[in-house]
Amino acid sequence: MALLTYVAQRLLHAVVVLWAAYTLTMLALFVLPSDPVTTMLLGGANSDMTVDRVQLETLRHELGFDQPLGRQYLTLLGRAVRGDFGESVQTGQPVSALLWNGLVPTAELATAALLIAVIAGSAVALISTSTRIRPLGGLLQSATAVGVSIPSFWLGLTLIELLSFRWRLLPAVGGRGLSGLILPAITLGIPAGSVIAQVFGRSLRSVLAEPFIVTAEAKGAGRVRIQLRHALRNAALPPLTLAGMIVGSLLGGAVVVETVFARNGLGRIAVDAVTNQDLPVVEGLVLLSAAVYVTTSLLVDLAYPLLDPRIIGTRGMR
Amino acid sequence: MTGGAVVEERPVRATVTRRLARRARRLLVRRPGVVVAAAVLILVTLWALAPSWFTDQDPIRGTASERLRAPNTRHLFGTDQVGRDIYARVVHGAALSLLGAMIAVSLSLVIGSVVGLLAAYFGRWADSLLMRAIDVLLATPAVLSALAIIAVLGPGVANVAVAVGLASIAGIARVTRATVIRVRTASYVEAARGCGVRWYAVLAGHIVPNSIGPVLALATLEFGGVLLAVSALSFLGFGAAPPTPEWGSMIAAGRDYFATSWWLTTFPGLILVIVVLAVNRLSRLLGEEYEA
Amino acid sequence: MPFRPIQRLTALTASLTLLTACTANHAPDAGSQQPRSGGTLRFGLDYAPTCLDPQLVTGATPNLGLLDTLTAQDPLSGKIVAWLASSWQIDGTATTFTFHLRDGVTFSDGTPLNAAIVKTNYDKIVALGAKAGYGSQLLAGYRDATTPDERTLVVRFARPNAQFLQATSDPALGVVAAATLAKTPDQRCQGAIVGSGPFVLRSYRPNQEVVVVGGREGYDWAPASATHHGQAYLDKIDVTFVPESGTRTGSLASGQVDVIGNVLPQDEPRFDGNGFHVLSRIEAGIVLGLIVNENRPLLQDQKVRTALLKGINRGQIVKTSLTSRYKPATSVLSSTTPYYTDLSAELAYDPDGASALLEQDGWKVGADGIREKDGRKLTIDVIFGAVRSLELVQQQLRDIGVDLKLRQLDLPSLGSALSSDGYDLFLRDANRADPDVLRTLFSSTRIGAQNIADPELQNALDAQAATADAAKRAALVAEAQRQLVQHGHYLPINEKPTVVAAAATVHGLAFTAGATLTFYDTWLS
Repeated sequence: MALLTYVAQRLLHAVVVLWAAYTLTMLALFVLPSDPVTTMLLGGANSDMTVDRVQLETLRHELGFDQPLGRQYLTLLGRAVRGDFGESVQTGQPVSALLWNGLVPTAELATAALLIAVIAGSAVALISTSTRIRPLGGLLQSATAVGVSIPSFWLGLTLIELLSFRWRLLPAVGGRGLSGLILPAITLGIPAGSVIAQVFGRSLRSVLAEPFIVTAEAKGAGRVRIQLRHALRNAALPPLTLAGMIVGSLLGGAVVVETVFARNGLGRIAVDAVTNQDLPVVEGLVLLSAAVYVTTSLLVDLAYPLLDPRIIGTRGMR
Repeated sequence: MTGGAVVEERPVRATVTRRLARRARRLLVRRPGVVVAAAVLILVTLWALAPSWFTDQDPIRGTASERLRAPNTRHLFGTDQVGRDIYARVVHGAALSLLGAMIAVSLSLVIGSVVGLLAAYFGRWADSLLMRAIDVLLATPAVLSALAIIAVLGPGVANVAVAVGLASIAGIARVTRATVIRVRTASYVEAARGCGVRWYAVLAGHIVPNSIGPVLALATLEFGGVLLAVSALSFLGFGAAPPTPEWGSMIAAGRDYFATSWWLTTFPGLILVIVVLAVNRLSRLLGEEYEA
Repeated sequence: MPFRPIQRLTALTASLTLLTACTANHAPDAGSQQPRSGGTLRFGLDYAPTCLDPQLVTGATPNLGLLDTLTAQDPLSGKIVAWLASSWQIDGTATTFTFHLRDGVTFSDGTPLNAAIVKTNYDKIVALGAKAGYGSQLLAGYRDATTPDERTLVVRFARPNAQFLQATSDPALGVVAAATLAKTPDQRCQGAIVGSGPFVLRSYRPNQEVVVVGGREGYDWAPASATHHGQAYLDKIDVTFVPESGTRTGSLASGQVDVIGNVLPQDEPRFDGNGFHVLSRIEAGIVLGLIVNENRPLLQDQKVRTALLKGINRGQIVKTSLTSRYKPATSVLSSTTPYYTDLSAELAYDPDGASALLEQDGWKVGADGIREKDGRKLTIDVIFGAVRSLELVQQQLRDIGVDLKLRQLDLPSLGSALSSDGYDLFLRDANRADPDVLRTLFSSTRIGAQNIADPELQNALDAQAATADAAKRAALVAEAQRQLVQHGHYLPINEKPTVVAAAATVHGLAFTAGATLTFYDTWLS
């Protein structure tokens, strides 16, 4: 029963977070001095950069941008509750279709990057803590330090230049199939993997110093065995919290990586929507990411008790 | 402030100072990496404060006949598309780049720690309210909120810094809250409260000094991340307006020349990586210091 | 004949350069090689279009040969030639246009082209208004269209509209089938486009790529300006949207694409030779320059405007930051625009003259080198999107004591600055292969344009819109250009080419008169 109340509480909390994120974004965009319809009509590079004033007013009226702000907010919120997120001012496309078209490639990219980050990150952490070759451990630790310090667009441009343009190993653009996914996924995965390696490595090292490990070692268990059986289980908790944050940072990184690698995705859509102040799309994105966030954090919270049953009592108190 | 708080405060500070001094001495011998990192940061700070000590070339006006020169003895890092010395621009750019990161970190530090402190100290509804607000912030990816804030404020390094700072309040707030909760229940705090010391005096005299450490460590760690975030937003075209030198904008402006004139992006990029590395190294040290 | 003799010579030289550029690059086997059908062309486009339908897009969209237009504009002569319309008449006041349509044209869904469907296209564009922004602008003053018979279309305007003939060659007035007209604007933008063109849309992934296929059976209605007739040579065009310049050039260099758009000046040498070739054409229309906000008191002063005009060293800008494919501006219109007039004498660099003008006007050099008058500094702010070459202009104007403040803005801020008149100068160009573009920018209340209070200029602009007679129009357009430059209403900087690069295996790439790349004559060896 305690669990059920806990879940219900969390769900209510999730709804509040969604509503607040939606409202705050709306407020922020209402403060803007510029007008999304003018922006749309000004168009891109090849138009003559002039706008007919009569057409502008007509279109603003059609799209409801001439309404008082309060009414605009209620209209949009009311439609959003019913699952209708309106149309993009920029392209006229339904926001749900636009986001769905972007979600699939971004999910592919983020999954591939996460896979690389988790596998490579944990491997580096394990090797650097367990190796008896000290220079190797040091080297791996420095590598992760560099990994978190590199701007991802710089990394992306360099990887493309070397792996794709110089050595011609992988395609840079096109994004079709697995081969087009590798380079962007590596670019996105390296910073995330380095963070995982650092945090996981640190908690492994501190767990390895705990008395129960020393006991196990004294009992004659092998180093690898100790790592896998004892340390890993106890060191896995912080990385799990980290996972939630990393999903967020992957989406952030996707903004840059999708631009560099000419891929469609939520990151590109986000930059376009914000730079063109495409209100319905920005709102859709905020709701989508807030929904992803509350779901992940809910799942992570529910997963904690499985790893450490003591937690439920303390978490419930919040 | 009441007398009781002052009396209690001194011994804490004295031990911390003594401990720090001892550790510092040991570190310099054992960890040359830390020394290098500190040296890098001192150098870069000097660049920011007194660029003319390091270069006499003009970072704004170029020599048209010296466009896109590869690194040579006269131009250590080469020249850019307008014929400006990249080294001079990197040196002069330090001020704005570091200032940007500083604004962002201070902003998130001040707002974040106040939010975390209030939430933890007062607990109950204040805690729920403030932490829900932080959840809202966490729920929108930092890039999206930063982009939205930039959309409101307009482009430019200061605005980008404010946006990044506001978007990264959440982390600081959470750590502050966790630390303060730990400190709040410590016996000496309970004792001070028991003696009738007022709440603000307890906050200022006990809680803040004893929880500031981990928060500062996190803030330093964020400094590196913020430098990267500002440069990423510059890459997306929201950074300093030309011709102002700033590292992120330099990398962004030079990327169209990446294939033909690699030095335009490589040197500002390398400097950025080195500075972020150095900051991270020192912040890890701080972190260890407070964990110990 | 639209061109004056000297004009014709320039056009001829330009066309010869273009031709040599092509032949030189195909030189090794140009003689022996015949155009060959087949193959897929991989094109790296420099932007992601927001909409694929040329009738509806407000920004740019690539010309993929999905639609045909009533007429075509010969890129070499600037003349309007037959396409879907085989002939036409214009009345004396340029208000009634009669088109005689070609026989036997079908859309890719099999339905035939007739006068009624063209009329429905125009009606729909006018009805869509802002949602077909550019098309409805071209049809401004549209009264109605009638169809006396199946092959004849009569379009009438409420006021003289000489530009309409050239407008019928613009893809924004391309003709789509009834099936497309029945769709919503959103569906059309997402690729529900049926036209009569040589290529048919196969797939579209927004922000990523679009694929069109050639091989339309029975396509034999190419315009007179094309170099061949019948089906397009290419089987397929894969267009990938690659906004990042470095990624684009690297993709071409490493053979991942065959053609790329928007080659930046610094990358041109990489593709001149070495198994590649660079093609370029100066864009038609208003050259890159600064439009003056004449609602600002400071800029109502003609002396200040003229000083700015004289203080810009156009030659130096092209020489130091651009390449030989760019040209210093020699008028408000670019040299590839019909009725362009060479005004290079008026646009010569004259810093002493500029300083003298400002001195005369009471602007004295202050301690910091910036001029002042009545305690006010000569500071002028310029707004612009993403163009970087203004730093040189800033330096040049600093030399005559003018402090130019550069404000690079994103599109929304640009929009609000323009609609609230919050700027002194605005860096712009306007691409259109008809001189009526002058009226769009200098005689209208549109946001981003100026309605210049100069009766002589306005008369010239109005009169050129009311005559279909080439010689008369040429004289009037020349007069308007001279007025604009002499009075400093526009500060021209440089002519801007469309520059593309391609692998040596790509032949027959062509530009439209407006300098958009087209693929109908393109083939692969």
